[in-house]
Amino acid sequence: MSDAPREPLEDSLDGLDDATRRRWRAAFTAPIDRPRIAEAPPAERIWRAVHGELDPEETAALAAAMAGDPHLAEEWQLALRARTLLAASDASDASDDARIDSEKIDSAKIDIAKIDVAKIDIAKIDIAKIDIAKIDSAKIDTGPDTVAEVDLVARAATDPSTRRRSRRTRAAIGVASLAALAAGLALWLRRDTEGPVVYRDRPDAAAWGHTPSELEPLREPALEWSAIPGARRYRVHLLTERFEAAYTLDATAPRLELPADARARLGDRFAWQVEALDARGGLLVRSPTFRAAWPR
Amino acid sequence: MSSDALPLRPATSTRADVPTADARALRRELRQAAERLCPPRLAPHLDDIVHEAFLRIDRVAARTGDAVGSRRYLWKAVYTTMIDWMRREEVRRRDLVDAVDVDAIDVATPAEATPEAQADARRIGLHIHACVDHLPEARRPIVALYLQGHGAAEIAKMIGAAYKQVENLLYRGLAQVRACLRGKGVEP
Repeated sequence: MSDAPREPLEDSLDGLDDATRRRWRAAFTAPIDRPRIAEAPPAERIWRAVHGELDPEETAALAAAMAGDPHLAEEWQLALRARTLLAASDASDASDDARIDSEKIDSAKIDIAKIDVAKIDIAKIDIAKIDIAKIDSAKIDTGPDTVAEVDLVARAATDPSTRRRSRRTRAAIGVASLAALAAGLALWLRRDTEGPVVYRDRPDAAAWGHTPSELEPLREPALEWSAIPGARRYRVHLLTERFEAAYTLDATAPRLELPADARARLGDRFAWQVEALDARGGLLVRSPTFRAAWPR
Repeated sequence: MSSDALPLRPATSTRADVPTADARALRRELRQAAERLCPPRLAPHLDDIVHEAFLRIDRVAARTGDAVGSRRYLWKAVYTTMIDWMRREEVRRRDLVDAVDVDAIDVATPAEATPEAQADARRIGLHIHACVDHLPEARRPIVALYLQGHGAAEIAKMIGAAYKQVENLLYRGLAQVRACLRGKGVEP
């Protein structure tokens, strides 16, 4: 008999009926309300085992540990669920890519809001197959900044006088048109995402959006802010990166020297917020939450 | 809104007060992954989990200078963050256990399971684990992986064993679990 893998051992071979198999599996991976006794392995190790990235011996050892650790069994199950969802997501993308037939595209049915520009691979667009004459610019809503440009290019392409232009000219128009469309889409999407970001339950938490390169370090271990007319003092809240309040300090001028032990308590990066208070301690204005990094 | 428009703004260099499109896209992807993966009992912490996963990715990116990785990388960040949350919750619950009745603590089980199935899973879960844990060493990981839902062929690949060997060990291991459960008064 060949040793080649067959279908997973299911149904008859394991001697279990469907209901029993389901029941045992549900029980084996169910959350449990007993304290964990065994030492928990790093979550990343579980992920790697489930995704076949771990050494076979290590995988076997982890699986053996799972037998006596219901918590680990639950965590493994979650990783397996992630793997399944991820695969489904990838398959869905691949299927979407394969289904696109430019001749069947009905521009009236295109919902620009659902287009993910990040997934468009410009290199794969075949300019020769784009029929500029079929672009209905009236249906392209890319915002006031670009619609005029798109309209101009599309009309130039559909104008009978321009149809007699050389293939080279037509190709140039095609490229320009595509570029305008891409720019329009990008602008449209940017416009869509520039609204207020609702994140966590703090209205000022939007301040946290950033990429690392944008977080420039402070020039000195002090914070400064714009003075507010009528403010007698300022209350500054210093938070850790995870929004844990670490300090609340008062300043009479729009500047605060950071405490000597602040770096140890706050970590390398932190957040801060300032409130301007009047003579009676009433709140005049509160700033958003700002991020900061220590001087290098 | 630009920081210039803020009535109270920093004079020091904190340009990051306005979210970038990249950061928003990253958060959106993380949130989508988290929403799909999140076990019911972590649902109240979803925002915090997304935030923490975001920070983790950010920290790695800041350290390595690399751009944010693939979708798989983002899912991994969400997963590991969730596991850490579950573990922290477990520790909090354990602290609570010292003060209150253990049986009064309700641990949520998957929403799709019926209440009867949830109760059954909780009732026999510990028995199954005890039985699998007492299997001979060679059978233990194989039965555990099978009860996770992995097929024999995949198990063979994962642990670097021959399919036939896995099949035999699995068959015997499951029979042993069945006998063990019967011994504990649990009928399959």
